[in-house]
Amino acid sequence: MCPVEFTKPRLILCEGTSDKTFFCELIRAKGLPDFQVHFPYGVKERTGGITKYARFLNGAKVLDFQKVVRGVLLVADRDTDSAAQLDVVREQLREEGFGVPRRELEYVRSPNGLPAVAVMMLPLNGPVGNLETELRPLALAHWNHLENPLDAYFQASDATRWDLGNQDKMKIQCLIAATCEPNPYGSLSTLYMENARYHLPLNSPLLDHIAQVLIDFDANVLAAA
Amino acid sequence: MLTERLDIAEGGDVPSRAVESARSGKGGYRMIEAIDIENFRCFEKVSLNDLRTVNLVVGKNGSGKTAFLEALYFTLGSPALAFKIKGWRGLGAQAQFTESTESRNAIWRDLFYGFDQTRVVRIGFSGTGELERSVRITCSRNQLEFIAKPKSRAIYSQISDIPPIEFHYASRGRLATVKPEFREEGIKLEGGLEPAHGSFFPSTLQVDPQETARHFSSLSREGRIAPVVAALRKVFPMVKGLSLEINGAIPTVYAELEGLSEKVPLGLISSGLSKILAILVSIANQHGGIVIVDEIENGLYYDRMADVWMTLRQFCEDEDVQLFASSHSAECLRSLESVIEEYPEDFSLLRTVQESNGCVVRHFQGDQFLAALEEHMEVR
Repeated sequence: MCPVEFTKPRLILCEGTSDKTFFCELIRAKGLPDFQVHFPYGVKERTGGITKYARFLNGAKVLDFQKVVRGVLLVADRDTDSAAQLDVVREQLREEGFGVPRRELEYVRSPNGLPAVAVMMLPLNGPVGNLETELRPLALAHWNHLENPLDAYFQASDATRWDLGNQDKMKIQCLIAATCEPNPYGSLSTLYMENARYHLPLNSPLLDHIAQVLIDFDANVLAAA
Repeated sequence: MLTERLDIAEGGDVPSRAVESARSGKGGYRMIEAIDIENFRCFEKVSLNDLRTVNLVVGKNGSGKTAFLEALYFTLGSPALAFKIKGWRGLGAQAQFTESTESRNAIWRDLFYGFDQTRVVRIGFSGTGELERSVRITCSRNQLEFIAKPKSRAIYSQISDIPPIEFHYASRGRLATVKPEFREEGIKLEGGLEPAHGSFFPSTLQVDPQETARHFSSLSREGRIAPVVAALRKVFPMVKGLSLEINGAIPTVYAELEGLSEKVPLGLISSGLSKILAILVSIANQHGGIVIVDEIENGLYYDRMADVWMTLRQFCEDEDVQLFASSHSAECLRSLESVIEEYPEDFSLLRTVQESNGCVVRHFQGDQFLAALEEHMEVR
């Protein structure tokens, strides 16, 4: 893994490798404005997650990232409690001296020359869940021949008792395993390393609402400033 | 704050707010807790507070890392250090000049920001101890102009032994001005203050085994070798003991090694071992001072670096010495992570950055430095 350097004025800070792959591929597939996409890495623990955002932002200040980055879009899964998740991010922004949005997708200016910030929750429009919840409709539409067998498998499993986010992770994982012959062990983060015929097509209109957030980013950052 | 702190060099003796805050700070003894630099080399203005026991200096080539270290060193001693520093930079350690005004003015020209000798160089520091020190370097504008445009040979010869540059040192109310004189045999530098404790390991030179032997001998006479050996063994456990022996006619430090019946000169074992011993004996001999190491990783195997940092930090703390070290090495920085995690208050990061109007120094404390390391930021 290359050391982090900041080279673009737009930054997406997301939870992990799957989110990073999703945003990078979405931007590429739809020809959106270019963002630098990072997630907290943690050299030791090697896991991401929204609780590490403060450390990432603290470390980024050592590189004077505010001289390059004009706005940061922090992405968080709603999981089972959207408000609580948003608060976890807000608290870290406060701790690190950034502006603190009151609600999701509110762009706020930060003091001391730090970049403007906003928080995007996933799924964008749903009450609970995560990136996989956002992608489930697209995945089922794309691999529609697997929808009924997947549902039967799901109904027969203990996953019916899981929360929605984990159910969606299970379903996406099953679909990738069943369609990605070169790497059935793969995940969203590895899927786009394979031949394009195995990809979930992110240029789909089903993702236009997320794309619109990225398209509007510059204007919203400017308005916040 | 700069003006206030540097008032000392102007002739006053007024403790600044920086000094007061330094003495109430955390992180143990530090000779340099706060430093101000004005118009020195690539730095137009730098003001740093709350420096720590171990200060790591990083930055791209040409961003002022070495110049920053030189500013620290220059303030400790006399103007003669300018020539020593020139030598380390490969610019010739001897002052060479002719009768021409230009050549005489050029000798110290590189000390001034933008080579502009109409500026005043100021460097001043204060620490958690008693020592405060500053130097102010001035060129008299009148004399510069006078020498630059001598009316006649006769006038020139009258004034030619009075160069326009002056070095004004100050420390705790004591003042000393050094006015270099050009003489046929060279430049005469008289006066100044007793040098403060400090040593500099330039990146361009191997450690001097005779200097190490001298330091070692001094410690040996004082019965202070055991802690040095103990510290060295933390990095190089195969060393059982050290002694000073005569190698030919030259006093040399020898090591007793595991598995070898005969002692071996350090230089024959490893340049990394020689370097760490040189730094350790230097620390032990600079009680209350600073040790400066440019490109500390040179000569050291990467898997030793965490032990090196741990050992140097502890030894500095034990000896009341502050360490300033620069590095270009990702492995060297990465190896700091576990040490800073344990002692965040003892470390700071100084990142030199070249900007459009010169170089600046960004200062970060241990916890922020650690966050950057943990998040794999490119801090080099």
